[in-house]
Amino acid sequence: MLTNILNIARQESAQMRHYYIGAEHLFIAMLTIRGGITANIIQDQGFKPDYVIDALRRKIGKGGVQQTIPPGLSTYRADRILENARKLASKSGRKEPNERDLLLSLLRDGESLPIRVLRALGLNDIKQLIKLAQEHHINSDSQQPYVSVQYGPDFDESRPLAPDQLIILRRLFSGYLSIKVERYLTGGYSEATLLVITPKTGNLREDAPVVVKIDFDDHIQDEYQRYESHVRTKLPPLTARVDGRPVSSDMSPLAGIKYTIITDTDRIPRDLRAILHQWDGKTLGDWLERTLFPAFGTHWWLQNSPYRFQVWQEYDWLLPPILTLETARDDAPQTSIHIREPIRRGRLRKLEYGDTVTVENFVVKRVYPAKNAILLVAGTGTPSHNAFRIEIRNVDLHRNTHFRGEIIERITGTVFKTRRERLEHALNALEPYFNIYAQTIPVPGFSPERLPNPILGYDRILDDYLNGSLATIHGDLHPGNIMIGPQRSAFLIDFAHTREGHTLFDWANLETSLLCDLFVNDDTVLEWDEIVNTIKIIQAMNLAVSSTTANGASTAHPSLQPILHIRRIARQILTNTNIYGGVTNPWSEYYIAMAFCALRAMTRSTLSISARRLMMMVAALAIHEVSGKSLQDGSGQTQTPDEDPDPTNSF
Amino acid sequence: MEGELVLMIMSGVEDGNERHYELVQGDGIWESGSWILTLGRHERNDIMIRYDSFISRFHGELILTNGKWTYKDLNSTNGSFYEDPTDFFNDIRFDGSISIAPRQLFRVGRTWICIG
Repeated sequence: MLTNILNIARQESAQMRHYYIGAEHLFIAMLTIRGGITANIIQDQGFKPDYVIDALRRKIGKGGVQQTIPPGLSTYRADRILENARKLASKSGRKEPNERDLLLSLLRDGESLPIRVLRALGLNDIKQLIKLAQEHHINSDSQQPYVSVQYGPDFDESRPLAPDQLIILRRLFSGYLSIKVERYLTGGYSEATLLVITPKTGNLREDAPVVVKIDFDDHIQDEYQRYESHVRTKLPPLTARVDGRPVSSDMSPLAGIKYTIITDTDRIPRDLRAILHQWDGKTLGDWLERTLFPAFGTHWWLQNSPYRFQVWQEYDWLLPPILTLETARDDAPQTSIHIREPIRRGRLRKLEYGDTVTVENFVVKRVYPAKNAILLVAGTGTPSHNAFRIEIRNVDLHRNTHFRGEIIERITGTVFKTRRERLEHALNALEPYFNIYAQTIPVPGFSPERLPNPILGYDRILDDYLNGSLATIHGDLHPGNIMIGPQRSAFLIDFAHTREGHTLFDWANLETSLLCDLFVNDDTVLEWDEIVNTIKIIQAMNLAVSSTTANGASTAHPSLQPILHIRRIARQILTNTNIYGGVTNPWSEYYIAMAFCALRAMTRSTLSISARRLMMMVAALAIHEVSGKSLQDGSGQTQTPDEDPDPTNSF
Repeated sequence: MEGELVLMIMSGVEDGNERHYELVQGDGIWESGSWILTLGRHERNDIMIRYDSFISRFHGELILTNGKWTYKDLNSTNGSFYEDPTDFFNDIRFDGSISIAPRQLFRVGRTWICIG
């Protein structure tokens, strides 16, 4: 057993280019033993061992390329831990320490890196872990707890739960006699499953319903960490709260998290998307502005602070990866293009299929073991939210360890796909009536007659500066994450993307997804002329919103009522001094957010062709609203499309 | 004029080691009311950390003034860091000096250290 652990520890050390054995390598080695005490205890605390391993690697980082340490060294701490483990073994009359001896001795050795990482993940009670390690009987806990699962009348039986989803559910509700799966919540665009569940105790009393989210383990763990750091202390009194730690299982790649809903009755909540067409537009809009916004606004969106940023820092991540690379063979031609911060996008634009590039000092954002791929983001230079994503394919993950948060000093590959190609592909899939390579597109019956081509027009905006605002934002606000409780109270779920960010992002994101929900019916394909009619009424609303004073009434087409209320919320957040393109134009801050949210929606294959067509035109209109203004001033940094601006659009 | 320092190495190949320094033994120098110990990869440092290639030859200084410790980064290549209290995985690089309390961890190159 000990030899085995030491061998794995040596491997781990070599792959991380550490070249010594430390407490961290011993701990990682123990975590990799499936069904071992260490893995089981960590699992029972709601963590997948792999998640803890990656957290340790992220904190320590890989060593330098050159080996500067003589071989065979171990740290003072590792020696001490091994020595104490031997003492424990001989006390029990064993010749050699076992995993338990080693784990106990490691947990007792002060503020080692493993202990510090466990604390950072929220496992503060090391004494409790020691107790668990002493008492743990192997195999006692990895059995599935027995919880009977029933289904309510509203459950969609055409989408049965998968076996590994059931494993997670049983573990989440361990201790209950049975649970009733009431129904699916519509959820967002990710692969997460959201369920409303009523647990029943031993005496068959029903507890209040809870919302369960099941997703890949690292998403759930991140959501929990974000909830702890951004959300927990900032919630309104009646709302959804994360209940306990996430739960994972060694039998499934999934994990689950429970949201209890603090309300004054036991009524089952609904998400906004489910009732969207039951409420009229005015009621919906009023509810967003008077109920949802104030409920969270006090601690979130209204805690606005001035924030000057370049558009790419907040919005580049919504676009497809700037490049997809395939790792180069060793005999690949010498590379002349280096991608490192500060990124020069002008250079990236010239890259084509087959070009060799070297990426330097990017951060690993995700590892896809099944696809042999990793996703990198810039992030060691100017602060940004996942900007300049680069996908690397054909990575030999067996030979090279990669982990989230790792800084990759240098990686070379050949270009497989560019962002331009991905955007062109997405636009082509919409069966466009126009030339997708032209700077502007004709819009028959619209004024102006041409709008900027969004897949080209966005590019100039990315480098511009905005004097915007910063606040805690939900990060993925759409009707599937907004819940309506008793007495039409408002609460939010799914905090996996909560962060400090551009305040208006949430509202622009909600507007784009509401536009899809309100105007697109999945049964019929919207033709382009119908899309143009829709953006005409959006354009009329843009004009009305920008021309009224702060509290004046604005008018809009009846179907845009809810959107009008989102704009009124946006107005409260907008910075009044924003100078864009040389013109004081507060709304450009909002239209820029809209343009990128709509562009992202346009590239989402999970949306219908009608929705993507609408989003494409919404993006075109938003870019026009941003860039059209600077034309008149003449001093703007942005070059504008070749049409005359419509004078009625000026502010 | 007295000075005693217990320096605890908290990561890397020397993790778990405690090093002892004393002014009377000739460690560091006494200069205008402060005890100054230099730290780096080069042998001439009072505190030599050999096996971390992310540490510069002359990386920083530990300074004791009126019973309080400060650490000063000497424009090192790979930097000195303290922990971000809101994000354990995001260490914050600093230029110049920070004051350090006993047991408060800071990082030079890739090595975490603290005073005992």
